[in-house]
Amino acid sequence: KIRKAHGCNKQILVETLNINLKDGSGLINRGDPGSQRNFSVLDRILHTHPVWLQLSINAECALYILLREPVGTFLVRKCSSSQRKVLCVRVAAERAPSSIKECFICEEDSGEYLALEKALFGCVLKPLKALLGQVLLSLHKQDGTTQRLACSLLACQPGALERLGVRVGVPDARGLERVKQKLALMQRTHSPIDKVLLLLQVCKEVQKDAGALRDGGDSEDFLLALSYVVVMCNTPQILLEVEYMMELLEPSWLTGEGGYYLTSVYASLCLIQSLEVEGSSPPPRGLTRETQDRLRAWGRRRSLEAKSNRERQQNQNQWNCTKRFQTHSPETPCSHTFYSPEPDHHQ
Amino acid sequence: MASGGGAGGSNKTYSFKVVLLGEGCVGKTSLVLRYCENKFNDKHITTLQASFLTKKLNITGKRVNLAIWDTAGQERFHALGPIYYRDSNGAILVYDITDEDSFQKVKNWVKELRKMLGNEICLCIVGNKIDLEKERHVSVEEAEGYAESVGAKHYHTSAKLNKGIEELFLDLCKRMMETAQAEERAKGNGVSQSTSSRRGVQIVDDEPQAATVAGGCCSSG
Repeated sequence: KIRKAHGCNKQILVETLNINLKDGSGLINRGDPGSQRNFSVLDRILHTHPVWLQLSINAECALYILLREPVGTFLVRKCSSSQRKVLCVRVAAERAPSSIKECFICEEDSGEYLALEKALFGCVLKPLKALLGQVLLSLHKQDGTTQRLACSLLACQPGALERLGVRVGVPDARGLERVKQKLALMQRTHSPIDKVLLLLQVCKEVQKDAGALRDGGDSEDFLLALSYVVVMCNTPQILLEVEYMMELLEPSWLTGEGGYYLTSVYASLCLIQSLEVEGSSPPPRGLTRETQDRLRAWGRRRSLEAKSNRERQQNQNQWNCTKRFQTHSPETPCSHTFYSPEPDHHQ
Repeated sequence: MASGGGAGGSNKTYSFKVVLLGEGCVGKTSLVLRYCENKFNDKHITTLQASFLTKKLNITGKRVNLAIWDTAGQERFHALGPIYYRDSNGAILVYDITDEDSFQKVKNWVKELRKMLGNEICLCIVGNKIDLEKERHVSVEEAEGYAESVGAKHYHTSAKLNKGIEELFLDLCKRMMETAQAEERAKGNGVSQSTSSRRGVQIVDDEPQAATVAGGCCSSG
């Protein structure tokens, strides 16, 4: 009986691994008309938890299973003595117990599965980061979005303050240098959580210099000051970073503070591009036609996703481990249709 | 997150996103600052003091986390709206009772929200600055009549005098909870057993060609 269970586990573990490694294509297959998949890495993790979340098995059993799987395969079990969850990963090719690394998952109070999330990002995203980066880059090169943003950023530079209509204080050269450093760090990390934390530091820097904000103008002033900083930093790659985060962050983050400021950065990119297209003064309608179309397409797709995810959520009741995912999860973060040259494919 | 308001498990915590919309100087920011003054600290990192605020409530024994998103009110930012209001469970549409034009803007927002998000979003129309009653330019009857006609609730507030604000948010939370609960019930009735725990494997079945590619990655990793 045990052997049969193991055989079964083995097969599904291999499939899990395949799913995880395929995530690269999952993230970027936006232009593929035949594809029915619009799953982010996190979405896949959510879908596959019945496979890798094996709370009932013990350490020996985990060892037994993982030693028959390729490096990189993981599962989560529960330690019977401490009742804590343990992430087990095969890290080396040798057929020895030392090839399996185990670490406890921190689940205390406000840490709220952050450790689990980070550990999974480490397992899944770290090896994929370079690949994802390359593919994202070439996709954006193809559809011209990075190029266009680069032009807009340059075009906005002369007299950026007036052009944007900034009415509050903005970071000076040193402040901008600090922001640039943070953006550079952001590009280096694979973890969307770390990226968003850096983004929040950037926003804090902007807000600090905006000073005491006036009533009725807070959001405007912040958005404009942020746009100014984005223009002055002149890093078109920020587009890829925003996309990476919006695609991979766990949904509850997208509704929280990180999500708000991520949204603000996205909004500032829209704003910057609309300025460049429509001339030196802020256009009356705010956004270009193209951006509006993209947003509409994206909105349609989001509502479809929301629907399918709600159904999925319904089927996840047994997964108590990542209760937080369940609690908040009906949507998969997904920004990439923002930039899709052919939004129709997502309908 | 959206309807995620609802929650699995016995220990329910509702999380709702509420977006604040309205023209520049109708006082929406001071409204929410007034409400959230006792500054909160969420799991999230550094709470930047500005346009994003949160509040934790306990309503009839259920925990509710509110995330309140302020938006840029000027007309030139109007088109950015969808980026901010997506996935909202509730919207607070603020106008200034002394400014007829700001009420028209609210009507535009209502139209847009209903079109984009349907009836699942709970709408609150809020006439702010009732401390300036003498200068009122939007009649109570008109505003309340309009709210009713679009399935929204109408409130009168004064951020200055701290009037009507607690009631507004409490009421909104209750409505969002009802919506989330109704949705949960609907889900409970409507979902068949066929799509249960096998979904993880199904993904692979969908994409045989991609699986081959991944196999290559596997062996090299």
